[in-house]
Amino acid sequence: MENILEITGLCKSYKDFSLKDVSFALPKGYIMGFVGQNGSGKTTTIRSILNMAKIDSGRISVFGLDSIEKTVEIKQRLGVVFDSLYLAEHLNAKQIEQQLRPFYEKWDTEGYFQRLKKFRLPLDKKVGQFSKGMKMKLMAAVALSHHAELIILDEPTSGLDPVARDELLDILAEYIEDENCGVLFSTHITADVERIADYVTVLQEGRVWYSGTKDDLAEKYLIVKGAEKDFPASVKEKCIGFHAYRNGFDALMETADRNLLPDSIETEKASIDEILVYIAKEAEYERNTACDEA
Amino acid sequence: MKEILHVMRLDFISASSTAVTVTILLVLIGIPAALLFNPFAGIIVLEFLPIIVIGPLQVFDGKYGNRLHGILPVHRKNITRGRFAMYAAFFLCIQLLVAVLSTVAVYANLNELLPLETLSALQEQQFSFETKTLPELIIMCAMVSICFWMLFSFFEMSGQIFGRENEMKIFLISCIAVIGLFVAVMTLTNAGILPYFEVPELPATIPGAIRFLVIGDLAAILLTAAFSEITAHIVSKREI
Repeated sequence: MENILEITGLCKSYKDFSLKDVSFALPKGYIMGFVGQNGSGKTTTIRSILNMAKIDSGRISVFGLDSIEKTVEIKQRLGVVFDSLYLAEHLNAKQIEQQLRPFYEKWDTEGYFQRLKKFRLPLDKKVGQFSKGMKMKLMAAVALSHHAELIILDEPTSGLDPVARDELLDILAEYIEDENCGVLFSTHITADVERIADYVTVLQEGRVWYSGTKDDLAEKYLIVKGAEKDFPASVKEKCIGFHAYRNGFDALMETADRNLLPDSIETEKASIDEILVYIAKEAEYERNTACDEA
Repeated sequence: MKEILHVMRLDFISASSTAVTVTILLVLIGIPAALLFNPFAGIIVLEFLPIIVIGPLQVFDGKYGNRLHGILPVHRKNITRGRFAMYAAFFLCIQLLVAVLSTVAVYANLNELLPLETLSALQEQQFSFETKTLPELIIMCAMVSICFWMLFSFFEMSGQIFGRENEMKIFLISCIAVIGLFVAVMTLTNAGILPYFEVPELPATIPGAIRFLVIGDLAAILLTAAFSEITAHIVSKREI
């Protein structure tokens, strides 16, 4: 399977945050959901792919090209949607097209205006006066109008109402029908990932916690619940985000360790949302333990 | 070169849409002022055009421009070069416009069209429209335009390198530095430490004035290119 995007050993440090050895790959023809808590490093990773952030080490390859040396060639084939508008708000959609058209070799003017019509976006209204959903759709129209082979979206659905979210996700689903393309979208709305993503990468505190298919992730972990007294201490060590409360406990575990569980312990499938919560709890527990030891 | 032209176009479309009304107003005031009253007054009015048109670009950069520049398939250095090239093109166009207006004003004696005697008299008192003044007008036009152009380029460089929020500080420091330098030179000259600087005689013919204009513009273009490369070198290494 050919990878449209490959990140290997990406490290990037700021004063109070760092990406550590981030590695994952997006195969051609698929959608990858890039999830994690706020501040886990999703936007930093995306900015590194776009060469908007200078990486400390590692390699990023887009369409088989190095993201630093071939950044202009890559951006010809790349579309981007951010969580807020990056276009001139005092211009209308027609003027935006006039601005952007010369930069792209494969700009499709007819396609752009057809998409604006399909997305019900006015041509003469200043884009700053668009609603949030309309702005997202405008950015999507721009991204799609130069035959981009990879679209990167950074929290595109945050702040959108359910209808606008649904429309944007439909746009992406239609786009990926072309098996030569790829989509990477970062989000903390895991319902969007569950709906359209094929692959998932989970970032936790600057590290990749999981990267693989969405189905494998769903199969790999389960939630365990029950009375704490019924739970063997040896199995407790294998738990992620163990949370004890008055009437029992709950935790996340790998499905492979299921056979270690007594019959009194209940199990259920874990959603991506729940996985994120448990790994965050585990990280907090580790931080508190480290503080206590210090 | 193509990328630089695309960036210039991008900036021009951004800037022009906000400046149309004011531009029309300035042109309607500046051209009649140049033709009917005092060409020099017209020059000053028209030199404000770049401020109105180009100035807002600095605001746009902060609001959306940086991320747009990060997404577009264009080398970072060419974004900076395009901005400075647009400044140069703009000021050169203004220079050409006022040179044409000055020539028309001198040869057409349009001030004679003024309806009232007092207006004509006022115009004649301020500036005599004799053909011998045309070289002076061209030279003054060049000097004013080049001064504004260099100021703009310098502040664009300092704004991009040190941040837009520091531009006012840099402007004040620069003014103080220039005034200080001027006072120092005057004091040292009066004390006999520095020789008196004799202002060279300006050309009195039209070809001489045009030569002066061309040399001045070439020097300005070189200085703008220097500002552009310094800025591009520093800013292109920064994160967006």
